[in-house]
Amino acid sequence: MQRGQLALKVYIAYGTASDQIIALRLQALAAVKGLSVYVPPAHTRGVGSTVLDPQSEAHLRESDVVLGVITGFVSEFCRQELNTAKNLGKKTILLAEPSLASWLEPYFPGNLVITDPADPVGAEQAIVQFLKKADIEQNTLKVLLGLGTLALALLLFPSED
Amino acid sequence: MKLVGVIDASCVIALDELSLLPSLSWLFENLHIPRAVRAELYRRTATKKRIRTLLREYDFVRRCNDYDQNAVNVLLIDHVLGSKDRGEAEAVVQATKIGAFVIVDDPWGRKLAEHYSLKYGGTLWVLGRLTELELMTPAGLRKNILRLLEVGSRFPQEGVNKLLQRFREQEV
Repeated sequence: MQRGQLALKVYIAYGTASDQIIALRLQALAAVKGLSVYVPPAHTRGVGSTVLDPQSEAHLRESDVVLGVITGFVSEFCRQELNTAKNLGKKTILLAEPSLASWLEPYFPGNLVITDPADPVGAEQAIVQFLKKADIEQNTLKVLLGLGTLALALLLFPSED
Repeated sequence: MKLVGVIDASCVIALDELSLLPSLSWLFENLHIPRAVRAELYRRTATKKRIRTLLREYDFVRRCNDYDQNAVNVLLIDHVLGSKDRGEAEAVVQATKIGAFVIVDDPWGRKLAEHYSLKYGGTLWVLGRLTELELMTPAGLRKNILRLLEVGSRFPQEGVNKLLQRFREQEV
């Protein structure tokens, strides 16, 4: 795939600072594929960060797709990002652990992919279904699918301590 | 097992020049910057603000201060070159304590890491690994090396060309 062929902008909203590493890995991979991925700085996940900063808000507004990566807890900043994405009508896909399903599902019906280690195939199919519904150009779709699958793998099989 | 890296100042500068520090998240769960390395970066006008930003921006990039300063002093006794070398010594002492990988370009720092049986590699090693992982194309690797040489980074010619040959790129 040629660089510059894709102009799609992705915003990664991650739950807490410790989730940022997943976002950074996706960003590095996406850059090679020609996607522009914005990962908000780690300090935004601090206790004092309760309001979206102008930079993040601008990136959120410019983004075509918002990818939420949540492993256990949703910081206030992340909640703001997801709410803003919803209000702006952004294509949003959330990858979250099963324990968060009941809390997130009412807010993001149809956009939530549960990263259940017991059902990785189901999670991947949910990503495919989401992307099929979204009106995205074919090549971009393939890259996004790859990115989503990788995010899934990073969430399901994190490095062990 | 979590792989932790301890990085020296020249590698921070080089990799930041190429905007590749976030990509180190593929190689290390945590990247530690020892106190003397930070002090060296704070001393330079060009890197002063940048190091602060990096520490605020990336959660996996961490300050590290908790290591034996006496051990660092002992290492420096036989190596009277100046405060710049404290960074390499601290990187090695910190890495020894936590069993980390040392990212260092300086020949003395590399020798020290080898002496302590630590795994180590420099900026070229990082570029090679990122290319292997397809996070950088071979052409991108060459472009990045040329960029670093242009801004004054120094690498052994043989090492540079060996790396380029490995990815079938034209030597420099």
